[in-house]
Amino acid sequence: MSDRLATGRPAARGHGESYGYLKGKRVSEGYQPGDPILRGINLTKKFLVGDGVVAVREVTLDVMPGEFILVIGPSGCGKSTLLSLLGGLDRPTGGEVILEGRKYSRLDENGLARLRRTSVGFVFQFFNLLGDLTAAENVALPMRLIGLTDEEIHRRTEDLLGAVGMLERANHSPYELSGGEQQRVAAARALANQPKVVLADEPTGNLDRKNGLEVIKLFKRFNAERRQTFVVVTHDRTFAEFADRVVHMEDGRVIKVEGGAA
Amino acid sequence: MIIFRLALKNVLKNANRSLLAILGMAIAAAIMTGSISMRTGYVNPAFLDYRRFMQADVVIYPKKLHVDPGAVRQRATEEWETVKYQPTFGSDLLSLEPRLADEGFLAPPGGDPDIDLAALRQALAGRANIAGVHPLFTIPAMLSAQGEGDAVPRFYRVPVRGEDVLAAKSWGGGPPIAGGRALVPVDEGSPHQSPQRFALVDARSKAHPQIPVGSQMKLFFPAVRREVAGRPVYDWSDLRAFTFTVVGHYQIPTGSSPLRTEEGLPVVDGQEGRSVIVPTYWDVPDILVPSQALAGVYRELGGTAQTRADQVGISLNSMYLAKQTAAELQQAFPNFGVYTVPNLVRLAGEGVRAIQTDSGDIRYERGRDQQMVLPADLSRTFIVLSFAIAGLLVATNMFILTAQRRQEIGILRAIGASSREVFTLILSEVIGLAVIGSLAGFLLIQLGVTFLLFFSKVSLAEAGLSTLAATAEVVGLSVLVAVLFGLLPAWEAARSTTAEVLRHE
Ligand SMILES: Nc1ncnc2c1ncn2[C@@H]1O[C@H](COP(=O)(O)OP(=O)(O)OP(=O)(O)O)[C@@H](O)[C@H]1O
Ligand SMILES: [Mg+2]
Repeated sequence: MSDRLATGRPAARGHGESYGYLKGKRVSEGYQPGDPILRGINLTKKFLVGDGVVAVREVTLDVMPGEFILVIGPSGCGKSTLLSLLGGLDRPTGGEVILEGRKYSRLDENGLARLRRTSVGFVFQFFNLLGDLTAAENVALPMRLIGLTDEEIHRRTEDLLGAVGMLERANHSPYELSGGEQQRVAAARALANQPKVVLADEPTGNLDRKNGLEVIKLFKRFNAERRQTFVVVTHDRTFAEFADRVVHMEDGRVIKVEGGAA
Repeated sequence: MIIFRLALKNVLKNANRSLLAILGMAIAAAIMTGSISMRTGYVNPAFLDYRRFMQADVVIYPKKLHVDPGAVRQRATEEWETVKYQPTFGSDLLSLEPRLADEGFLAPPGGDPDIDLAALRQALAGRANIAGVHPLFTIPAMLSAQGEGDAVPRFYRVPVRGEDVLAAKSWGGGPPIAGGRALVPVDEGSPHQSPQRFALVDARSKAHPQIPVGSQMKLFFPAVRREVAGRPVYDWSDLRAFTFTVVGHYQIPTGSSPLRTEEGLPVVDGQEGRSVIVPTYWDVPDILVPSQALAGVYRELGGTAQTRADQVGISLNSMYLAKQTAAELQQAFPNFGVYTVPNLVRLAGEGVRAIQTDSGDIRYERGRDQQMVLPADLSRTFIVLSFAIAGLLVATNMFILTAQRRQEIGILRAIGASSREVFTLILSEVIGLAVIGSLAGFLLIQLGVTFLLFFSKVSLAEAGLSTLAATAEVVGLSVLVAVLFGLLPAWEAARSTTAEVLRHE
């Protein structure tokens, strides 16, 4: 029911549609606009395989609203794991994640799901579009989950597909789209419910240089125009120029943070 | 709502996967339908001949006459009296269980040796699923005939049975039929009500010789001295002769049996070495005459009209509920023995062995030491087993269905579908496929049965299928199994860590 808070909200700040849940009951005590929107505190993730793999070790990361963060590191250093912890896809073995003051540890599975559907957008390396649905239906899905009206969904889907340059392919199945096109649709889907935070795990990993750059530029545009916060995992150091901060990881730890005030 | 739309879309878009799942469900439902029909209907075509012979789906015998010797033995601990079988009882029991003649059977003390028809009709009135009541009247008689090895004609004791036999095409040829049952030409499907003295003689009776078709048969009936409470008191010192024209022979198949030699070795087909299977028959020593003719005889013997039946057949509206109806009747009439005809025939037919005599004839024998209870138990085991197989089929189906969907479930979870929504998605898909599949399987079998029945002139009611209750049972059970087995993978999928699923293509 509380999902409804995310619908039909009046403009509160910034431009266009806003993130009305800031005014709702769900906003936790103590969160002030201007505080870090997403906080990972002392995050540790241990997998119980063999002798146990520690994928993430005591990582602390504060993400400010509207920030564009790049996470870079060698394969297997724990980037994806960190991202899934930040998005609430997985539970940490130690530490805490706080999104706008909401502690993940206090949310049950469904609470986390609700949080993902309204506040977090995911983009994956393998696009992960639903093959049974068309591009437009994929984009519409998160909005249907929160129960927007059909007109609203239609309007927003068009807007989003237009923004990612996929409007004329709206009724195509993902199988009929190129990798770059699929990723743009996936980006539109991630942005459908105007999440505060978008988490992207190697969104360019499966794309050629040109398409990869296009996707990053797309993110950057949303970041600039819609003030959405981005945490993007990548191998590609050349994307550093788009980022406010670059977080370097190695062996589960953050070893260096470049740029920004923090 | 979107979840149901998505489920529907899934089903439609993944036509192959859905078809496979539906096919699996259909096969499972078909197996279930088959085993339900095994349980209740006339699966063996031979059973239908009994039905026609008895004109009933359920038979009520007077007293607690047990066909099943196991039950007799069990009852022996109770204070029931042992009663020797008497030919005057006139029911089919002796043919069903010859041991009753020498070992006797158990009956509750003071029970009636026959059934008060009026009282029974009254007790049956208003009961569900009962289509008709068919009393069996017999008069004990002596048959004068010259059997094999008889130097001169001698007397054989036989029950003469009033039988409105239906003309059945499947018995071949126009009546009178040797080896058939029709007494005289009658309108197809209508009972023969001839007052004429025609008779059919069991083609294989061991109790009396076979009388050639076309010959005149002399039957000697005892005069009815008086009637006590509707029950005749026969005077065997005052026999009256009646002449009947033998218009045919009848025989009632019970099934088939591998042919064995006197030594118990299987008889094999010379060239191909396959063992020979021959049909087996029910030995009914009765002589069949039209019931109207029998009623005429009874009146001439000095009686009024028979009101005490030797057994009562009850035809049902739905064979599917036969077992249930029989159980209800047994409860309502604890002093009677109530059997469904398929069960009766199963009991009668099983254990019949065909033996090739040295002269090359075929002789039938009921195995003395045969455990008659066993086959019934086996068939139950088979039903349970087939249900288990069907359930397993459904279960695997559902596991595969959800296993294939892990990726999709992960995506849905990532974009914020709650586990309840994912659960609903999978489950609605499971239920949808289960309903469609089981209905398809059920209808397929139904159509097949209907088609066969159309040609064999058996009513749907006789097939023990086709009722709403059967549909509900099969479809309901399938869906239940599907849900039960779909529940676990669906639950697992709904809860599964999404991160893991999404990391690979
Ligand atoms: N579900 C899991 N079970 C066991 N070990 C895991 C699991 N997920 C990740 N790991 C391990 O944790 C470590 C970090 O994995 P992760 O996927 O986060 O690395 P990554 O930085 O994203 O690598 P890449 O750049 O190749 O995607 C690896 O050693 C990996 O094998
Ligand atoms: Mg990774």
